[in-house]
Amino acid sequence: MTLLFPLGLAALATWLLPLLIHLARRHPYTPLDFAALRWLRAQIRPRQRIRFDDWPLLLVRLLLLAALALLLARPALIGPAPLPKAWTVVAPGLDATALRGTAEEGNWHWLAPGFPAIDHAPPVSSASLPSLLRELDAQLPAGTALTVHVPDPLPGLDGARLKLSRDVQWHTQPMPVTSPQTAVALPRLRVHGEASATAQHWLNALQRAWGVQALPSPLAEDAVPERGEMGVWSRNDALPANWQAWLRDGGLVMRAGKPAASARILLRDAEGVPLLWQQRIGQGQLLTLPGDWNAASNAALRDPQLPRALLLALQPPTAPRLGDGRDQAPHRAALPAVTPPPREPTPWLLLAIVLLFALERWMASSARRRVAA
Amino acid sequence: MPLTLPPELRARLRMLRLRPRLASGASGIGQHASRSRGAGLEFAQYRAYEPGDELRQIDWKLYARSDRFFVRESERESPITLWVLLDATASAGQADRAAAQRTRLDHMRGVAACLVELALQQGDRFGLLAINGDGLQLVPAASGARQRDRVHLQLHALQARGSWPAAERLRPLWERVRPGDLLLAIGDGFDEAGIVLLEQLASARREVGLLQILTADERDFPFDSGHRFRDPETGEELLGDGAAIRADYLQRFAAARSALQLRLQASGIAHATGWLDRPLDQPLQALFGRGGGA
Repeated sequence: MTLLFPLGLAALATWLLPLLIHLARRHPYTPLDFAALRWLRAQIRPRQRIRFDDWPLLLVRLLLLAALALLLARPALIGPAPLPKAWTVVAPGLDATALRGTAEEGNWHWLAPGFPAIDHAPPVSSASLPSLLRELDAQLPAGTALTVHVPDPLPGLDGARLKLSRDVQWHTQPMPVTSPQTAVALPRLRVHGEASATAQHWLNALQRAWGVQALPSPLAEDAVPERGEMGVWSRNDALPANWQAWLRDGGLVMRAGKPAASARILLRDAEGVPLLWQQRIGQGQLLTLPGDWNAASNAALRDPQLPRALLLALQPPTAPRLGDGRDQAPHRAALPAVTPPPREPTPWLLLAIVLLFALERWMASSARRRVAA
Repeated sequence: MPLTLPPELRARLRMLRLRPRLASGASGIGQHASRSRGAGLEFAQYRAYEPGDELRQIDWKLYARSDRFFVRESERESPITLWVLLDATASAGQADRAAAQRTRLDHMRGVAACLVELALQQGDRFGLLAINGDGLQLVPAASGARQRDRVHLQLHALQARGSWPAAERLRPLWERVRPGDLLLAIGDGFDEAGIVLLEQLASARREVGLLQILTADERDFPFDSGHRFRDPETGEELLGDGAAIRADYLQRFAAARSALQLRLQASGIAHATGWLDRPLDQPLQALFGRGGGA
């Protein structure tokens, strides 16, 4: 139990208000008829004694103010939330009722954002399962045992191996997956009409190095390449206006010549000499080869690694996202202790305040009723 | 509050007799011994025959034994007139803290009703003199049950207010209360003018008694915290801490009471004290009961 805003307790100074009102109200004594007054002697002033009548009402009022001050001070519970000893999580998509069987014990939850209880409908989530496991591991107190049911080809893998701070009972359920058929389209080069024979020759070799298809026919005079194709501008002058517009709209153009100052080096050869520059222009990118299109004079064009490196640069291979469930069982690692977030019992405090207020009103009005009766 | 007396109180009242010390020689037949002797029921004495006595008054059997004429005399019984004087000044509105509904005036009404009941039992004439800030309200003396109702009506209408009126406004009292009448004052005895009036009445051959009605608060002074005491008649106020001034007050109050008693004794005024938390007839028992004062 701690206070997130201890200065809020300064509101306790409002305690003075009902206390002072209560005490000040006492000072004018109600006159008391006393016919034998002449035998009283007034040499002793009445002592100002602190006297509380109606003290239950005063107490309730002070409690109400204290609760309000506590609300301002924002109390928070720091200790670990009282969680059950065992947690069981099931990845969405698995048959939870079959897994659960007749076992009623254990805290069954979906392995989905927010970790909803198993009684809810299976959530549809695309969140990565290892990431969710790491989050759950950080949330659960150290003593809680964790049982995990995941599908056998485990989807959602990322770069790091799954490491948790506790031993996990790891159950895999075989579940067929339909791996997405991503037919990777190889880039196709499209040369403008006036390309030189040497450039055509080298580009044809490049295209054949990527795949078995031949270089398509050169473009007409003022036509632009189609979307998905890679335009090649083999002249040394600037791009025409329609090519520039096409490039800015997301096109990909390769040319040879002197790179712009803002271009960055994309590829180097074995000696570290730059082979290819890349420059973003609008939505598209402009690749620049050093020198000219003559393979005899330009060493960069003769580099044997260039086609493969260029293909990898243009179409980086996707990381594996599916893995064998048993192999991906989490390792135990000493992770930095995660401080659980403080829990603020604000709703309960508000409820207490409302109840105290109702009690105070009831006591105040009933007291008045009693006096009037 | 109807002035009905509870049965056990009536039973105790039946044992009491209003016995004036000064015998009145007035007219009529009543329960009180008179100093005038003559024909009557109760034998008083024999005396020698004197010329002028009626012949039928001579006791002939005694003449036969003694050969002299003796006249048999009896004491005549005569009714007296009882005046109940009620001090209904503002101090009569005071009540005990323990029983805030029952004021001193209520108690005094009850005592007055007891006196009326006694007088009615004995066939005496009785009248009411009520004094408050408005002056004197009186019910002329008469006897009988209807007179009791008249007195009760007047007692009901009575309200405690004001302070003791000036002597001129009490002049009708002197015209009504004749010498030899029994006048019983019911009040707190705190008004100096009231005591002076009683002394004057006593020295003018009226038989006077004072039934002093005091509250239990005046006797015990049970206040233990700060209070603003107020004299209901003068409006004077005094702030005091009850526990601190208690001992001094009790001492001074007792001294004042004994001084008043001495003063009343010197004037021949019978005196008894009734308390608000005691039975109504307690001062009457003290005055008229067995072995009681007068």
